[in-house]
Amino acid sequence: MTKVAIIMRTFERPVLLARAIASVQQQTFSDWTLVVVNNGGDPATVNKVVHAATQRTLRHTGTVQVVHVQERLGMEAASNRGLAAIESEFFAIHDDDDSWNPEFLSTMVARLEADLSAAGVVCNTTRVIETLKGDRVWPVREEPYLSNPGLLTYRGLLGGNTFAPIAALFRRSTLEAVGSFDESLPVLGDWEFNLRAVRHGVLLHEARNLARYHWRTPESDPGFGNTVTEGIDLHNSVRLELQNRWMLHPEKYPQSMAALSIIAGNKRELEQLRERVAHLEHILATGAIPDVQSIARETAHILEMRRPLRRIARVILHPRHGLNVIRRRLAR
Amino acid sequence: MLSAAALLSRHPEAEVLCIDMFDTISTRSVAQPTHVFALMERELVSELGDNWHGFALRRVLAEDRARHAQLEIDDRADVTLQQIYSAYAVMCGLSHTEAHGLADLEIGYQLQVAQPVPFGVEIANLARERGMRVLIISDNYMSSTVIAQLANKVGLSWVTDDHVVVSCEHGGMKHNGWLWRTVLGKFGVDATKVLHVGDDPHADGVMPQSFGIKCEVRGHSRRSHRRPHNTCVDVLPHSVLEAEYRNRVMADTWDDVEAVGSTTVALVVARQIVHALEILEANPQARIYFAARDGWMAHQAWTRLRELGEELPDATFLSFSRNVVWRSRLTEVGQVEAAKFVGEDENLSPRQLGHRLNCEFSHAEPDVPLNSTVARELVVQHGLQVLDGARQTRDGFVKYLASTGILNPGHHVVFDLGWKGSAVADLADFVSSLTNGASTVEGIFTGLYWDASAQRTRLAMSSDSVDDLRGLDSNVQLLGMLRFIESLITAPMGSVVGFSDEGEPRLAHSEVETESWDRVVSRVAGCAISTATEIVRGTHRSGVSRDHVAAPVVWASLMQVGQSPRIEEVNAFAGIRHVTSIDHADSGHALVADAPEITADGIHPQWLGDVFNQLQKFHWLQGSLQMWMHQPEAREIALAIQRTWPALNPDWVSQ
Repeated sequence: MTKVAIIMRTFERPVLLARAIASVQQQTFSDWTLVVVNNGGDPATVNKVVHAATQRTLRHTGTVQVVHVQERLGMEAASNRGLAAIESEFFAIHDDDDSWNPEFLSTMVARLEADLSAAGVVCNTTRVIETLKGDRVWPVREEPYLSNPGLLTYRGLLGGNTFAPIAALFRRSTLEAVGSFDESLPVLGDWEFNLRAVRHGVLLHEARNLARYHWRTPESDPGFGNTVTEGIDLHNSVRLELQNRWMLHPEKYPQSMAALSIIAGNKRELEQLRERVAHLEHILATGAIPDVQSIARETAHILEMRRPLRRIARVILHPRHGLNVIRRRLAR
Repeated sequence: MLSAAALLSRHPEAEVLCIDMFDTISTRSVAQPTHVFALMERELVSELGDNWHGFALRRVLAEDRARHAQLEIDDRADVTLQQIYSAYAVMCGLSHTEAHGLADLEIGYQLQVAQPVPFGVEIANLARERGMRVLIISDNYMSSTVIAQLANKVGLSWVTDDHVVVSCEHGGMKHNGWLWRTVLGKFGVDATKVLHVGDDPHADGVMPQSFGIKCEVRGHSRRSHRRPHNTCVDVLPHSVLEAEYRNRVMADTWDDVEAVGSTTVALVVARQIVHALEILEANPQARIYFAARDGWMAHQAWTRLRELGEELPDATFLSFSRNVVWRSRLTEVGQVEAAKFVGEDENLSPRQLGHRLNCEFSHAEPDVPLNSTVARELVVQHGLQVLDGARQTRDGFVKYLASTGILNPGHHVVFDLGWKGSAVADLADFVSSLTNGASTVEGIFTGLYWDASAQRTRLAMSSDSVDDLRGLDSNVQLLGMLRFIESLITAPMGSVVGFSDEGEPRLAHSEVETESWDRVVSRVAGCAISTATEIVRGTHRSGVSRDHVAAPVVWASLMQVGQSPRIEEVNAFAGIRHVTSIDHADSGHALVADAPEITADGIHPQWLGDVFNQLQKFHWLQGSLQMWMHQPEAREIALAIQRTWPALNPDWVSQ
């Protein structure tokens, strides 16, 4: 049995897929099996990329398997299909546009082996903003996308997902205990799974920055966006749906789960807004190279969030009133 | 240069010999004083675990902090080792006992790395034999007891604490003059009867002379220190190689060209060979090719290793260039193809264009340069002739490839210095199509950058320094020094621009590159090939062997010279011209760019961006910035570029 199963879902992004496979092959830890789930794309293209990658002779790397799915599935169904194809002690979901530092697996496996009670481990991440045009992809800027032990608790995760899939390694027994990814969810399936996982066992925090979470700029070719940036409305509606589900099924979920999730989510938005204001103040105070577009973007965002800001403040200051408002909204 | 005896005889009135300690009596087996901390870090990590990663840099920062604190109290006095480690303890939350333990460890390493400077030891011994009083005068944070132990170790067995005057014990330093007051006052020395020997023109020359002391400054092999903050474990092999070179030429003249050849370039070449050996261990059936001019040095070293009896399989030197691979694969000629052969900023005449594409262009004015748009249109108009020339190139290239064995069924590993990987990916596709997939090509690149992502879909590849999975900063850093690497890791002959009917490579001839080779690069190559050979064999005097030549070590060495060069190194390579056109037929660009004049608009972002792009595209960016830093009129531009692109900060070891 392989130590680590790595599930990589892909659909028609050969340039990014090639990069993602290379990031796995460059791991210093070699007891892994990569399962590339070709989720409805052209099999010949994926085979060609995998063939080129597996010509490598240099290191004693793990093995690569390809699962071709004829009809395109949802993301979570594709993950489950990949996981079903391989047994392992640990597993990771490695999206086809993200990458790892070479020490990711060795570090994360060591952490989980040292703490048998942990359900998984999450490392700090760099968010790479990049542009992709044709077959060229180049980084535009990088920013830290940090986690901390508080964000990896049940309470920390309730408001929304606090880490990208690329930053995590899970114990396979966690999956067996809490069940597989929810295939009914078009997005946020990772968040929903994380919430179940963290109730089963702790998520460890690895302070080293070992994962790279890639986001495409709006200038990139269409079709290469991230689900997070391109599907904001969908994320919001699925979040509402999940909160609704938690509220309507008290036999399955803790009663307070939905309300706490809404409050935590609002609080998180408030914090993000504060960060944006602070960032803008920093730009203005330091006189850094003027980037008019970025200032305009930040300002527009802040203006856009003024009304929700007032609502959020009310909820936080008057929780009982806030809960009533939430109940009314969910009932509608 | 005067011998020790002749020097003393020149000063018969001298009754006291004052002599500097570091770099006059003793030197180290590492290149920079701070590299001792990297040795400590290596041991600490090995013995105590990963928490000690970054110790060396923290030790440097602790000294900065201690000196800063000392300035607040007394700006004349030097700091002590205890003060430095107290600052370290505060920074890192250690106990005093632990801080003392670290100080003892440092003293142990200082003693371990100390090596004699023959002239200094000889003159000190000779002076003592002649009955002169000898005082070792040092600006240092270590106690007189430790300095005396160091002197004992390098051959001055009679030295005790009483022979040592060290700045940290006397409230003043040589370079600010206060230690000289102590020597003349507290030690009761008559200035007119003193001869001082040292290596620092200011602290050992100007300052003592101002007190009436006669001085001999022997700083011929003295070099500016590298930036202390660039201290990490990975830089140690470079450091040890550089120290070996420095100590070897101590009585001779330091040559920066030879020094870089014996360190950074040698490490790149050695890494290419070690990388090939690793591949052969994993896959003994693979065949090794060192490609293009970038691979010439490694191929030379490989051949020498075989001649010396090392059991290595044959490796092939592969003459190829993007020019011939592109032309060989040409099946149609449109604007896209034309753009590959005519750069945006090129002005080529029809005759030059024909030469580049191995065909003739009919044009009324064959020698008048055309802008890129017109030239590309001309290429499209002459599509049939271009394709005919391409067919000839292809035929010759196929014959040549067959002669190298790369068309034989099997796995072929091609080493290239690398850039985007596209030329090797094109070669892989070409070879695959010629052999119906029976022959596969893998690319190994010493340098590669983010734009290589697309090639991964066509070519199995890996890179030692940077690839598309590394950070943006690393890529900016590598791009800035790519011309520097290309200019130094090259061959005496020009790039291949075509093949004869028999499949013999036809090579470009560039006057400027030939001149650079004859004057500078050949010396780099000589040192690099011999040093790399010794490293791989494990016979190099420094002790650096193939086990030390890992990818991060090569990266650290490239960064040490390419990103944060000494001004002496920039000067040594400033005269090199490098040709970037695909047929290697233009007049090239100077490796170190002249500073542009600041326009009336000042340094605005658009203008700065243009300067940066030009530097990155055609020159050694970091070397040029270093040069501009020393020019008052250009300093502001260099600073503005460093502010705007922080990856170019000369302090490249991150905290």
